[in-house]
Parts: sequence; C-alpha cells; structure tokens
Amino acid sequence: MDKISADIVHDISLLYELSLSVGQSLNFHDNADMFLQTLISRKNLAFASVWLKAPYTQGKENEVYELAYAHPEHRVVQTRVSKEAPILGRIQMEDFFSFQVKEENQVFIHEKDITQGAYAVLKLGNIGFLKLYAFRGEHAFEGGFLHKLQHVIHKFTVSLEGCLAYQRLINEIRERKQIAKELIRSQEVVEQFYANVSHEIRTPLNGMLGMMNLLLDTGLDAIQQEYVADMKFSSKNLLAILNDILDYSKLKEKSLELEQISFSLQELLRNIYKTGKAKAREKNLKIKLQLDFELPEYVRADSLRLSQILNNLMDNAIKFTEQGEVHLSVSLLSTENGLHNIHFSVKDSGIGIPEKSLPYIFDNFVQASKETTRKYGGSGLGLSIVKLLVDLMEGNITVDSKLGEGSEFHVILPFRESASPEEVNQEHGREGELQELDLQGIRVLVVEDMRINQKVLEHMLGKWNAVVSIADNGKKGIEKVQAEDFDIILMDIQMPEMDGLAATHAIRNTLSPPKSKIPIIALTASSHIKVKEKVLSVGMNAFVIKPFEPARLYSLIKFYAAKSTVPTGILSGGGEQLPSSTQEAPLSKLDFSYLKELGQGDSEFIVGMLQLFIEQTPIELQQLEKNIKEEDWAMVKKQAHKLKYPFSSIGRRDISDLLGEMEMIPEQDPDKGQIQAWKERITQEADVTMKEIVNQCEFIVTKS
Amino acid sequence: MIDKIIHKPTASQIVSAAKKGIGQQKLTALILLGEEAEIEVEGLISGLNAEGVSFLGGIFPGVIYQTAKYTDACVIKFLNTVDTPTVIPDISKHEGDWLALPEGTTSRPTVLMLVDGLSPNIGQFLAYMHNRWGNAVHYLGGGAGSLSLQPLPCILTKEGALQNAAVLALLDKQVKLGVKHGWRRIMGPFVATDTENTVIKELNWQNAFEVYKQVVETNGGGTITRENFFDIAKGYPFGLTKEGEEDVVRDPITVNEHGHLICVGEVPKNSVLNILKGDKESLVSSAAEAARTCMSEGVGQQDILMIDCISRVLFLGDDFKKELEAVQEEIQLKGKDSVFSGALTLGEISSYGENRLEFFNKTIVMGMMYG
Repeated sequence: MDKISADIVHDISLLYELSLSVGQSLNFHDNADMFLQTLISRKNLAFASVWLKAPYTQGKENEVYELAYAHPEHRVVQTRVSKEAPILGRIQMEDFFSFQVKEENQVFIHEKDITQGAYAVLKLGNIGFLKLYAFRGEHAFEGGFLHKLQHVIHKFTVSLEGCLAYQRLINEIRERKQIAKELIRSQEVVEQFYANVSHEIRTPLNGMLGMMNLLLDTGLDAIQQEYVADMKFSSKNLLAILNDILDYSKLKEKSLELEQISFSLQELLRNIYKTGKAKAREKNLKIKLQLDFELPEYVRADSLRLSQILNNLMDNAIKFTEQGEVHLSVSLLSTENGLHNIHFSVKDSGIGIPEKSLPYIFDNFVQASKETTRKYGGSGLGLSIVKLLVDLMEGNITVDSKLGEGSEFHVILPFRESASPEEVNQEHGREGELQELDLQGIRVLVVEDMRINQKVLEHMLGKWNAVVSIADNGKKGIEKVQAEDFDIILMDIQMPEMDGLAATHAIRNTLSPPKSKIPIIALTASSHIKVKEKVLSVGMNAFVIKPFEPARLYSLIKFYAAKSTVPTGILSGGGEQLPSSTQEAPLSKLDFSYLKELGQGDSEFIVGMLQLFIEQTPIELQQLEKNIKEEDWAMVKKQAHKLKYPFSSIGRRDISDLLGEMEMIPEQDPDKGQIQAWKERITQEADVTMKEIVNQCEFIVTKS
Repeated sequence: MIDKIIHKPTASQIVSAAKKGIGQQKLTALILLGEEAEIEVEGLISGLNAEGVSFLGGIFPGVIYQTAKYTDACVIKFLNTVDTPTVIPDISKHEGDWLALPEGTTSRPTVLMLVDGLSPNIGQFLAYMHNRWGNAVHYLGGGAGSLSLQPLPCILTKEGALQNAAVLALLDKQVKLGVKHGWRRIMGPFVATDTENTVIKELNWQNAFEVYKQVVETNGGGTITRENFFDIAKGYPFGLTKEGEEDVVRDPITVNEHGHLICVGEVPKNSVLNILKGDKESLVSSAAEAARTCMSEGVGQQDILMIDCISRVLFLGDDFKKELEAVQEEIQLKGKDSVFSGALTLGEISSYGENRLEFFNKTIVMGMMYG
C-alpha cells in the first residue's frame, strides 16, 4: 500500500472509530467519555475537556462557559471562564484552532502542570467548545486533522444536545413525579384528618342531640321549645356537613360498600320530588317531576345512595335558584342483559356555573366562586360526593350550564332488574311492621362508658317502655349478663378496661346458651367498613352508627329482641313474629315516620298533611269511581297514579301498591272485574284509614 | 539494598530474607514468586504479617534475575515506599481512599502496581486510576497469574492471596521508563465490530476466528485450529492503533466454541486493530531499546525493575536469553554496577510516554527508579 493510500485508510479508520463511539449513551458523561476516550487513545493525547455555555450546565449567566467533562480530572484547576476570556473571543471567530504551549498562549490554558505540548480547541455548535491537549506537541494536530474531525465533531455536538435535552426531560419527569407523590401524600393526610376530626366531633354531637330530644319532652314553654328546636336544627346541619366529610373520606378510601336491595324506583323518585317540593315552597319555586312511561317500577341497587345523589342535586338546584323552576326528569335509556340504564336529569333556572369553573365543579371543596361560599354556605363536598358515588355505582355524571341561565346535571346509572314487587315487600317487610314505638317488657342491657350516652339511651328506651340496665364497660357487662336475663344488649365498642369486641367475644364463647346467644347490637361512632367487618366477625348481630336515628335503633331492637331465644315475658313465639298486641293495635297500618321526617318535628305540618289527606282523598276517590264508570281507562290510570303517593306517605303501602297495579292496566280492554274489585278494596281501606287518622289527629292536637 | 533471589524457597526462608532485607529502614518487600515454587501461600502471608514485614507481591509464570529466568524461584526487591501498600480487593469496584495521593510525596512519585492479569476489568481500572492521578505519578507494574491461564488468587497482600485484585505501592522515587515490543503490522486495519471486555467476537462484521485464521494462514503461520491456537497465535498478536507510538499489543490466547478470540487485556468495541508479526531479532533489539531508553548516564547503582511478557519467552524459546543479555549489555553501558530483576508477566503496565496509562501484552517495560 502506498503512503497516500495508507494515510487515507488511517484517517478513515480513525474517523470511523470516532464516529461509532458517538451517541452510545443518553447520559452526558458516558457519551462524552466514550467519544473522548477513543480520541485520546487513538491520538495519544494527554487530556480532553468539554466546556458548555452556562444555561446548558444549569448555570444562570449566559455567555459564561463551565467545565462539563474532563479526562483526566486531576488536570483541572479552573472550571469556569467569564465572557471576557480570550479563548471565547477566539472560538467565536474560528471553528477550531491549535496552539503550542508558550508564554503568550497562557491565557488559553486552564489546566495545571502544563509546561510543554500543544492544545487544540474546537467549537461545539452553539453549546460550547472542546479542548484537546497533546504532550507530544502540535504535530499531534497536523495534517489537517482538525479539519477532518469537523463532521464527527458536529455529530458529537448533536449527540451532546440530545443528552442535555434528555437530562432536562428526566429532571422534569422526576420533579413532576415528586410533586405528584407529595400531593397524594398530603391528600391522604388531609382525608385521614377529616375522618378523625369528624369522628371526634360526632361523638359529643351525639350526646348533644340526644339531650336536646330529651329536653324537648320536659314540658318547656313555647319560647324554650323554639330555642331548643333551633339548636337541634343547627346541630342537624352540622351533622349533615360532618356526614358529607365522612362520606367523602370513605369514598376516597374506597371503604364505602354499596347495598343491593330491591326497591320501588318510582316511589323513591316521588319521595325525592315531595321532599324537594317542601323545600322549594319556602322560595316560591316550582318543582316538576317527569317520569318516562317505560321506567321500571322496581329495580335493584343501593336506594340510600341513589337518594343521596338525587337529593344532593335537587338541594343544589333549589339552593342556587331564586326564581323559576327545578325539573327532575327520569327516563329509561336501554335494558340489556338484566340491566336498566336510566338517565336522571336535574335542571334548574338558577345562577348557573361560570364556564371556567365547569371542569372543576366535581373537585372537592370547589364551589363556583368565593361569593358562592359566602352566600350559600355548604361544605363544598356535595358534588364531589355525588361524583364519587356515581363512579362507585359505575355510572356517569355530566353538567351543562350557562351563567345566569341555569344548570342541568345528567346522571346515567345502571340498575339490576328486580324480580317482583313481592321481593321488595319482603325486604321492606320489617320496616312496615314497625308501627308503634313500644318495647314493653323487653329487657335491654346498655354497655356504654360515656355518661351522656348512657343517659340518652336510658331515657329513650324508657320512653319505649323497655326495661333498661346499664353497665360501664365490657367486664361489668359480662357480669350483668351472667347475673340477670336480657333480651338484647346494646354494646359500645371503645370502652376502658374491656372493650365491646372483647366483651362480645367472651359472651359468645364462654357463656352457655341461651345467654351466649343474646342478640348484641354494636354502638359505634365509626362507619368505617373495617369496623363493620370487625363487629360482625366477633358475633355481634348488627351495628348502629352514633349519633343514631331513634327509628333505626328501635327497629333493630324490635327485630332482634323478637328473634331472641331468651324467653321474655311478652314474646311468646320467638322467631320474627311480632307480638299479637302490636298486630291488633287500631293504628296498625299507619306509619307517620315519613311525614315526621319531612316536617322535621313540626307537628303542625304533620297535622296539616293529614287534614289535607282527609279532605282531598274522598274527592279524588270519587273522580276515580267516575272514570271507572265511564270506562275512561287513560284517566283511571292517571287518577290511580295521583292517589298513590298520599297513601304511601302515611304508611299505607298496601293501598299504594294496589293503586300501582291499577296504574299499569292497559288502556284497551282491561279486566273490568279486577278493576272493580280493586276499587272497592281501596274505597273500603281509605274509609278505615281516614277514621284512624281522625283519631290520631286528635291525639297529636291534644299533645301539642 | 541488593535484590535477593531464593531458589526453590520455603515460606520461612522468604519471611526471613524479607525481614532481614527491610532492616531498620522500614523498607517494603516486593515479592515476585515463580508459579512452580512449592510454597504454602497462606503460611507465607501469615509469617510476613507476624514479623511485621510491609510487603506486596504476586505469583507469576516466572521471575528474572540478571540474565536468567526461573519458574520455581523467588525474587525479593526492597523498596522505599511512602506508606504501606494499598490493597484493592476487587478492581471492578472503583471506590476507595486509595484515590487520594498522600501528603509529603516527592514531586512525581511512582506507583508500582500488581494486578490479576486475567481480570476482565484491567483496562477500566487503569483508566479510572489515570483519570484521578493522571501523569502526576509514573506507573509501573504487571499482571500476575499462571501460564495455565486458570484464574487463581495470585496477588499477595497483607489481607491474603487475592483474585481479581490489585495491590499498589507509592514509591518515594522517580522512574524513567522504557517500553517496547518489536512487533510490526502485517495486515489491517480491522474494525473490532463486536467485543466484550477481553473477547473479540467479530472483525469487520465477520466471525473473528475466521478472519484471523485467514490472515495467519496466508502469512505463513501454517494451519491454525482451536487445538493449536495458542502455539500459532503467540506469533500473530493484535495491535491497537496508537498515534505516535508503537501499537498497543493484544495477545489472543484462546478461541472459544463460537469462534470468539479471548485476549489478555480489553479490546474496546469498534476499535481499529492490525494483525502483527514478530521475528526474534526485532524482539531482542526492542528489548535493548527499552533498556537504553530507561537508563541515564552516571547515576551509579540503580534499582531496575524489568517487567517482561511471558509470551515473549514462549515466542523466543531458547533465544530469550539473548533478550536478557541485550538488556544487561545496555544497562551496563550506563550503570556499570547496576543489577536488574523482575517478573515474567501476563500483561505489562506503564505510562506511555507522558500520556495515557496502558496495559500491554507481549511487551517489555523497563523502569529505572532513582532519586
């Protein structure tokens, strides 16, 4: 091979090796190292370094260059050159230059122990420059070497820019991940805090509400009654906010469990409508309910949570509407594979939501503006709870809104088909049987350490004629169970000396029947699913969350005490059969608990509602009779529909269901005999009901 | 202190000679042990530790004392060191206090180092060391191990006999180096398109053994097979291009079942290689040149360490004696009373001129320590 060919092969092989060493890594140091180690090795150099403009090295001053890589590092004495440095002036003028180590070139030298040899400096695009040092002198860079190196240097520069961009990206991702991690952590802390705080507040609130209830029964004068009613109203509001917070934290923790029960969807919707109507009346708003004809009567889902969703949306609609109307419309979208997809729309003519707030309206603590919070109050959790509940029920929620014109919330939820009305009645049967608040003769042991709670329970149970005995902790509770006979135990969970779980375990496992089988109801301030699992796992029969609804406690005692295997004076048959005295009671089929709830303790409201029933029902029944006579079946259906709610609101679900059947008759050629029979039974039962109400009204009027 | 040689030594003889040699001057003993010396190594180390002897050493294919080589003898050199030797138990890990140069050393001290010559990480280890110390120090040393090429604990330290390890001693002296090999290019360049540490898998995108076999056979090397690979390949090493210096030799020692060539010392991926060939005359004259380069006039009796590759012995055969005689001749020209001794190694280490620190094969490194 002649010398020219040999030189070409030599140059090409060097450039090839250098070219392959570029871009082997996205790490800046490794990339520079691989290239420069190859260059140093092949060219027999003593030192190489890469200098970058300050912004690329995360420095702040532009036009200042900092050392980003050096090999060997021990040579380094200076790591920064100012913008006045001669080397920068020269590299701006030329793409590369070389110089011998001499006195006059000392200004270009930033390394130590350099007394001889030569340097080469090459520009790295716009990002910096490369310095090479050869001990053996300037001939290391001769033969146009620096010029030949230009293309590889360009490639090296691009690869370094890639590394720097990659590093920036990695840093950014890392920072974002860190921020996200901290955010999640702080959210968790906040949620835990809400759960703890609300739990701590609920406990004393329970006592306050109980004492207020008792206070109301102590013969207060009218002003005192009003004050206590106000206190109770405020306490209930506070409780509602706390419940929001608890629900929210449970939903976020995913510890809320949905129930699957059969219920009448139409009845639930009408109840929501009625509740809304009562609230809207104060603001002079119109409430409309529109139900799709094809809407199923019965579905399976968590009716409580559905009510919570719809009540929340209705409450908001009423709250934020000053005039006009609130419209609840419900339609069946489809039915497939045993699932009904139902669309709920809550539309108002209220203040609307600003466009910029719409994307965040389901976030926690978000209200449309600070003004909204000041003017309308609320926890700001309502819609986020609704959203979380809808998500939990595998549904979807959206909102359309225009500022100043109103809002419309759309909820689509899936419901399982329900087999029959019987299924519903079966599941609700126990509620239907709870008609009189009477626990006469039932022996209740209350195991509770807090004095205030003891007092509330003692009075409440006493009012229901139960025989009450109190124990301060689990240990004393067991002693009482051993010494006396009880029909049921109400057991607090957290107590000194021995808690409710340990006490229950001891009763179930160390005592012999029938005492070991006494029904035990847990009283707990926590509604966490884990607590529920715990109480059931130690053998408790049910649990009541404090502050408890008296009706729920009553129904549970009534149900379990009736099931108790311990003989009691009044329960003769055991099982679920109710005492005959209750079945024979004259008002056995009436239940005003719904009206009481609606009236929030306002007896005038209840009496007014009942009087309305007595006045209106005969007129409506006459209209029904007329329509049947005229065989106007479309009108019969409408009239039956109209009469359903009045009967269900006073607890006569049997009549309401009968009217429901009548509502479903075909408009062409229905079974006239059947309709006639239904009509007669309805008229007869209405007559009896009205007489009973008259008696009850007298009672209420007398008492108030 | 004059170097000491013990033929067919026992552990107690070495301990005794080392203890005597270091005397009151607190010298450090460099113990170079031929691999056929029947020594119980653990006993030797515990004996040296018990006597408080500061030492470093290695087991080598052979040792050199003046103009003779031995495989069953022990050569001991006595050195002035700045501190006791530093042990690096695993050279694939770079962390350690040894990276800091101690205070109070001379302007440019010498690092004497022995490494396990069959370790796959020597190149990275030397690059890392050079990055921290650069040419603030001189480097001199070699690879220990057995000619059988079976890995073994061959680095002798106060912590025991270690494998994949290194031991360093900072000599409070300057060194003048002579580095030569005498091999010349016969074919190239080739691009090592696929390598892994010391293994060349591909040359010019083809199976490395196939390419190598073709070159060797067309250059009079005879038919080369996996079985006779070592015998023929010792005459045809690779050279890594190094501008302004001789190529850095890489010695292929075996071929595996995939046709990959295993070398002593790393071959970087995509590096450009030549295939080299030597003759006895050029090798002997290169040894003389190395000796000539390291010697200075009129410095009297010197400490001269010779690190010579075992594969030169295999290549030169009986003529290896000529290499040693040529070296002695050059040394005596400038330092009449100087003696030299050293080791036959698996790879040689030195600074290359004033620039990089290299790990060579098939090379002679002469170091004259002075000052």
